[in-house]
Amino acid sequence: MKHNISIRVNSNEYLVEADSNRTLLDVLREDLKFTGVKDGCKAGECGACSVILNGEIVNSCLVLAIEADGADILTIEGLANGDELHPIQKAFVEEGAIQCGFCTPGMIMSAKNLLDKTNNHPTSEEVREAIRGNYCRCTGYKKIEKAIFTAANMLEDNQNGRS
Amino acid sequence: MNEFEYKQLTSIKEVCRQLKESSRYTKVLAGGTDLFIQMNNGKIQPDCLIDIKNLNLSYIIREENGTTRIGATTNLNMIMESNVIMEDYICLSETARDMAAVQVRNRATIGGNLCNASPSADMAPPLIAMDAYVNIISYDNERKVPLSQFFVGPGKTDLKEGEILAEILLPPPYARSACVYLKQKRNAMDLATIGVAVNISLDDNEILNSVKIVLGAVGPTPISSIDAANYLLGKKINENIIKEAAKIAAQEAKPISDIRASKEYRIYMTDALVEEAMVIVWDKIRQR
Repeated sequence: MKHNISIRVNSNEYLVEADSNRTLLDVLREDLKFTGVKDGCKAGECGACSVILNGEIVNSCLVLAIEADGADILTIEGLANGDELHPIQKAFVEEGAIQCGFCTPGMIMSAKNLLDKTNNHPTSEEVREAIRGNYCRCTGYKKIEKAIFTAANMLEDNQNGRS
Repeated sequence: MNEFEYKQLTSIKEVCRQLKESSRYTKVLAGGTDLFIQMNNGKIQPDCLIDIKNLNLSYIIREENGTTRIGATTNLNMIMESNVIMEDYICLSETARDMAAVQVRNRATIGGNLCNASPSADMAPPLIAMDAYVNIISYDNERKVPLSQFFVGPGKTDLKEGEILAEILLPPPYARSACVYLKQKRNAMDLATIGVAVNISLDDNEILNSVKIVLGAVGPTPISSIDAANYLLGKKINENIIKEAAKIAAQEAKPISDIRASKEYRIYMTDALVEEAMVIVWDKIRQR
C-alpha cells in the first residue's frame, strides 16, 4: 500500500512515495540519499541509524516512513554549515574519537540530543547513558566520551561569545 | 517486513471494532520497538497495522484521590522523566531508565511492554508490586483487571479479541513504603536475565505491614512470590528474616535455562536479588 509522505529533513521539504513497510531509515538512505544515516542492525540495538525526529532521538530503523509523515528530521548531514563542521564533529576529530567511522554519525546525533537537552552541561553519568544505545566496535568509547565533553565546552564558549 | 495496510485511527471504539470484525490478521501499532523486530524476522506477518498513537492515550495524571492513571501509549522516556512518577512511584522511573536506551525509550510504550508480555518485561514486576491494575476497552465494554492477573503465558495476556489495553492505574503508595526493581543483565542494552521487584511498608514499630515481591524473567510470566511475602508479613524487619524470605522466593521461581543464563544461576540470583532489594527498600524507608 503506497503512501504519499511529506517529510522535512535538515530544514528542507521532501515528498516521497513509499510502501507501508518501508522504514524511515530506508527512505532516508535510498530515496533521499542521506547515506550518513547507517544501517547496522535493523533491530534498534546499535544506534547507527539514530536521527532526531521532532526533537527526540530515535532509531530510524524502527520507525515506518509513513509514521514520519509531517515530521521534522535532523540527520548527521544537517549538522555542518556548508564546509564548516559543527562543534561536535570538530570535537570528535580533535579527540581522535573516530576510527572506522561507522558508529560516528549515530554517536554524534546522540551527543547533539544530549547537549541540547542538558544545555551543554551533561554529567559523566548522563554522557554514558546518552550513548548507551550506540555501539562502537573500534574505539572502546573513552575518546567518544571525552569528545562529547570537549564539544560541550566548545558549544558553551560559542554561546558566551568566546572562541 | 511483509507488506501490510497501515491505518491511523482516532477513536478507541473504532480500533476495537476493527480488531474484532476484521477477517484479516490485524495488529495494533504503538511504539513498534517490539513489533517491527518480530516482523523483520518474519515471526509475525500482519495484514494490517492500526496505529494507535493518535488516540490520546499518552498521559500521566494524578487524580485527586491519589490514584495515578498512565495512558497505554505513554513512552518510556516520559515515564522516566515524569514528576508525578518520580514523586510517588520513583521505582518506575528508575526501571524505565534501565531499559534499552534513549532512542528506544522515545518510541517504546508502557502498554506495548505489557502487551508484548515477554516473561522478562521490565515494567511488569514493579507495576505488579505497586498493585497496578489495567483498564481494558472493547467496543461495548470496559473492564479493570489487576496487572497480577493480566499475564497468562509467555507473550500471552488476558486481552480477548477486540480488546485493547487503554490505561494503567496505580493506587497511591502506602505511608512508610518503598519499592525497588533490580534487573540483572549481561550488558547495557539487554533484557533482564532476572528481575526482582520488592515493595514493602513498615508501621511505626518496624513491623512489615505490606509486602509484595514480584519476580521477572524466571517463569513464563511475572511471578508473585506469595510464600515469601506471607512469611514476612507481620514480622519486625531484620536481616535474618530478609535472608530467609529470599530463600523462599528463590523456591517460587520457575526459570528455564536459555541463551542468557542457566536455570541454576537464575535460582541462585533470585535469592541474592531479593535479599539485596529488601535491604535497599528498608534503607530507603529508614532514611526518610
